[in-house]
Amino acid sequence: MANFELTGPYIENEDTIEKNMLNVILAMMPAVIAAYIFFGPYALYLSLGTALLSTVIEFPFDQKSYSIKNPLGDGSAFLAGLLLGLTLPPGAPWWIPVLGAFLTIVIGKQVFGGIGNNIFNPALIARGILILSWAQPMTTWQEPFDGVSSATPLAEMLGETSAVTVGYWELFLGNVAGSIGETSALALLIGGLFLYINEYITWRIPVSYIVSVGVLSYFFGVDPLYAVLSGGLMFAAIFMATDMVTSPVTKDARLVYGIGCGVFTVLIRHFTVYPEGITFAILLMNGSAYIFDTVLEGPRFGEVEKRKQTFKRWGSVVLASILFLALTYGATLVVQNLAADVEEGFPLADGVYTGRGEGAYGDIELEINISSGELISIEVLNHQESENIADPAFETLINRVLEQQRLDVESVSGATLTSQGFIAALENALDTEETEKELTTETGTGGGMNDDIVVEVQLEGDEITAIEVIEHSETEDIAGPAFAELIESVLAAQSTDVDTVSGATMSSEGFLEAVNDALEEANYE
Amino acid sequence: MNDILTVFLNSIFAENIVFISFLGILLLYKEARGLRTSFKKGLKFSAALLISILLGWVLAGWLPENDFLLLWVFWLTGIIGIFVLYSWNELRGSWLNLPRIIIALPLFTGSQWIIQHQNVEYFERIYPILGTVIGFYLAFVLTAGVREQIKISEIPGYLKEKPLLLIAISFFALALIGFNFL
Amino acid sequence: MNDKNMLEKIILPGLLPLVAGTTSVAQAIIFALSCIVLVVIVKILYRVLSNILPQEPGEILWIILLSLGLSFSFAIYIILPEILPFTGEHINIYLMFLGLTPVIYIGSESKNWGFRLAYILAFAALIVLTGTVREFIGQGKIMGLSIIDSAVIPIIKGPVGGFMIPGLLWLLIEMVFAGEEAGQ
Repeated sequence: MANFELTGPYIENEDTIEKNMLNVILAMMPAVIAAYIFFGPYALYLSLGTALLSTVIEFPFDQKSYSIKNPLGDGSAFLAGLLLGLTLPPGAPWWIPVLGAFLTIVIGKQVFGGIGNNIFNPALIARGILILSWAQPMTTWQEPFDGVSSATPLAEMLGETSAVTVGYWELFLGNVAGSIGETSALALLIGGLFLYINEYITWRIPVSYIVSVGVLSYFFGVDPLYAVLSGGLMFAAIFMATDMVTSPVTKDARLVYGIGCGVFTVLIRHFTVYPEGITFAILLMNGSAYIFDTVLEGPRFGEVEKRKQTFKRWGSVVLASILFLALTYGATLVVQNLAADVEEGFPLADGVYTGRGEGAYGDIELEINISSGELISIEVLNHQESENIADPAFETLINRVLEQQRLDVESVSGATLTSQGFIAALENALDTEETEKELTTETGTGGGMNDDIVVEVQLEGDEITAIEVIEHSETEDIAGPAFAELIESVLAAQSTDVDTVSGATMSSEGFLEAVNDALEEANYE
Repeated sequence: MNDILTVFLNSIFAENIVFISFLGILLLYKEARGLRTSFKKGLKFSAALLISILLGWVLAGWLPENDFLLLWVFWLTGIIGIFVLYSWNELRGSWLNLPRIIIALPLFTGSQWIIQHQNVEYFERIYPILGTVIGFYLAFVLTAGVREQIKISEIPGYLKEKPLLLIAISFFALALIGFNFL
Repeated sequence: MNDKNMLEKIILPGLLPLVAGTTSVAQAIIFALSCIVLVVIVKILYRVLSNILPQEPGEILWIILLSLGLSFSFAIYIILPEILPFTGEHINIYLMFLGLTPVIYIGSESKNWGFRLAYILAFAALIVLTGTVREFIGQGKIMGLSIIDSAVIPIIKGPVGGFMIPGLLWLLIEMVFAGEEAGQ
């Protein structure tokens, strides 16, 4: 515990914890009102209900703060609950706020000793646990006003649904599907402005967070403004990431923290199954905030030069490590490309080949066409994958393979197993020779007991796959079962060197002669 | 995302050797004290871990596919890595009448086992190896930082630092689960 | 041993099985029993080795002992699912690494079997308690039997619960001790 003697004089601040909390709660009221307008009275339960439940749960831990004058205690529990409540989807079941309030206050806050001592944002702890435990209830999005199930603009932006249908103005006002308090950028900006003017937040964290998301999204081919306005980014940047207890204190650390939040948010959005990366990004940055403050605290008096030297030394170590990694990765790519260059084209005869590979839910079967050593077409014959993910993925992969004329193309993000199955099926198709897979059917004739026996033999490459007796004049009762038994034996042995059927010797020999005749026609060895 | 990059990033984050695969947790408890010292100390431990894993990787390439043999090799290379640390004046002395080197064994041996059994081609294994070591260093520094924060915070006396550290580590695990790159 | 640090001295050496081997009660029991078996084996081995090695037992003895401990835990890992197939679904790789965890080796040098067994039994009780809490909260079951309709917090099954539940239990026990001390 910190325990040291204080000496004066001090500058006294009129702000109390209660006043701080009250002002932040006030700043969130526009978002609460917007939630009510767009998603109805149930949104009030989700937001204010979670806040009140949190206040009640905190009471046994901090009874001193509560009184008739301060029914909400110091307001921190109410604020934490409200933060969580506003991030809930409009379709969240009634027990989510109850569980969430418990997790926020007990696990996220009181376990670490109450207000001012928590290292991680309690609302985000609760939200993270809820998302990972109860994915379906936590992602039941609805259209504003009519409550119809809908995809969020963020999901549309990330290509998880068919098309982007929402415009900037709707995003700005909040007339879109999403978490109840996160949709209206206008309401959030009003609150943010209020906090900024009253010096409860500085510009560094929200601005660095938002700008880094915008810039990175641009590099990933996404409209930066859309990326910023969709999802919960505005809410997180203004209210979550700026939490006084869990964010850094020094100026430089705040910038780095904001950029870190932005980078990880975008990476999670684009490269993982989670469309919204805010929770995990900010939690990781919360845990790193103290490190940023320590490393970037600025030099003490007389230590400027020493600081510069330390930075140079560590900077070179970091730079050298990054260079080493980049070189290793580059070398691997070069080696792969060289290996690919050596095998120019596809060393197979012209023709059609089929192949099979294991996807996420079953086999993927495809047919390829090779002409003059080049792969000219690929068609997916059969698959068990989810259509809305697999169909666009197959289209992308086919284009990539045909364009680059190689198999080791990049997998499609969000369809890794399907992509791998597709590539495996391609490899399987290219492994075989055309003649092996070519289907041939030949007829043959042999002398039976009464007259000729004509059979049709089907070959797949060098495998006898079917035999059919087309014509015969033998006694049906005897020859019929005999032929059936012989067909089975020949297919099993893959040769005509099988025993004849007793009681139908001549028919058997005639059958086998006919099969041999057909095989000779097919040059079977 | 490119397969190799995915494997590399996942071995740092979503499959972090400490926060997700549990190895090295005792080592962090005993050695990750003080944030400023942890930057250098973490590098020492990471370097020794890298030496250990690289040795194990090379040897495993020559061995037949036998789990018991592999385990023994990884144990030996783990011991070698730990003795490298020992020569750098780390893990000296004893703890609870046991040689202090014992606290590092599960990490040094277990991490090699986990990497060996990943679904990655032999030569591409260098990426999860590097990622594992980087992930360990991050875990070392993050743990030291959080520990120091808990120590200097004004918490009531009945809340002890060590159990709180375990709970804080669970929150890191929570955060890292979200970094599961595809 | 000082009472104050007793809990720490039980938990820290066994931290790996405590966090990694407590997804369910069944798993925790398997780990607990394996710990007990390994403790007995290691203690016997220590006696044997310290008689064989001519000098004052030092690092060499410990390294040999650790390698043998690891071999035995590997043997348990391989053999147990063969002789008791129902244990297969509850076993994970950390059972193999039990032979590397300090909890198996603490007190090996002491001739006092009683203390050694008491220590490992206390640890076993703790690991089973953790497994019970984790299985209940993470799956709504105890010993595979459904107690409630669904899990309270499913994520507790994974690494989050692996660290959080032992941490919370540790905190709770420390708070109870602190309360008792204050009462005295």
